[in-house]
Amino acid sequence: MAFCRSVTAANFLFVVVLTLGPHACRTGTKPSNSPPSAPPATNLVADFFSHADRQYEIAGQQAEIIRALRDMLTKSAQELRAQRYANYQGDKDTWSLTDLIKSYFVPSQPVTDWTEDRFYRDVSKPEAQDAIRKQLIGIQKETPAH
Amino acid sequence: MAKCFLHPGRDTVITVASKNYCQKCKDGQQAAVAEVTLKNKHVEPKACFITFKGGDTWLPFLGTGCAHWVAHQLDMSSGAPSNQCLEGHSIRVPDIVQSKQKISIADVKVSDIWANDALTHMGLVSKVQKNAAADAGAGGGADAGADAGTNASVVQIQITHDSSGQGGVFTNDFGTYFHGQGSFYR
Repeated sequence: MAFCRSVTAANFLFVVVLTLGPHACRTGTKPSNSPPSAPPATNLVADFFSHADRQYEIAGQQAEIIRALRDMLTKSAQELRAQRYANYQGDKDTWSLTDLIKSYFVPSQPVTDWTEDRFYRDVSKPEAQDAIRKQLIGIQKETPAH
Repeated sequence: MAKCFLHPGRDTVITVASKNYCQKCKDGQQAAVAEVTLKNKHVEPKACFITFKGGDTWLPFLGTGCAHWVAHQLDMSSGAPSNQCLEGHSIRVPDIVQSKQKISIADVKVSDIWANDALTHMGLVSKVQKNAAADAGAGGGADAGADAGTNASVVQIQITHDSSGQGGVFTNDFGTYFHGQGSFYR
């Protein structure tokens, strides 16, 4: 009985290897053929906000940044894509969320592979939410220049 | 013929800050500068507020232009190369103040750096008006930023800054516009 079970298991493994073998080989060779811009495993949003300084001047700008950070903690990616924010001069509904982020946050290290799709894919993940929360806590303690 | 600093296989067509660039770099730089002009009107100077992103891609820097303007005025290049403009000047507030010493408001002179407490904005002192009588004997002694509006010897300080809120380089009063907040650096 035990012998039968081991034979069956061996047959099963053989079938699995045959089935996955060619795919596994293709997968194994894929990295060398893939473009250098293949999406890395890191979370873009977490990585960005963990290494970014805020640069803004006036209270209205600060309020808009806080609104955007709160939105990122509470709204879905679909809602965030539709959201609009005031620009530097306070003109309402001018900037998208990523326009606002790119206008007020200065990364201390180069940002690679920023795409809108990656941003909205990563924004709701726990590591991104942690980094956003830290930015929110930081900015709420600050006094704007004007 | 000299080769491109970033693409050694290509001939140089332009030199910026002692670095040679090829035609594709030049085209990419011009496209990025056009984007700065369109989206970051307040940034001065605009022609160098761009960064290389790999391949043939050049993009505007993220963030405001306040630190970049100060760095150009003072010819400062502190910070990582990736945080320096095409001409090699800093673009981040912390990179500029970290190499400087805080100074007392009583010692402030034209061309000293001013930054707000949160280091989210900065500018340069462009005018200092002092009370001569107070200088002669009444003293002052207030720390920078502590009670700038009431300091006995300094009557008025003007800060010139690249202002995203106002859309360019403007001069504003330290005591009123900036509420006497922040520190001075030299």
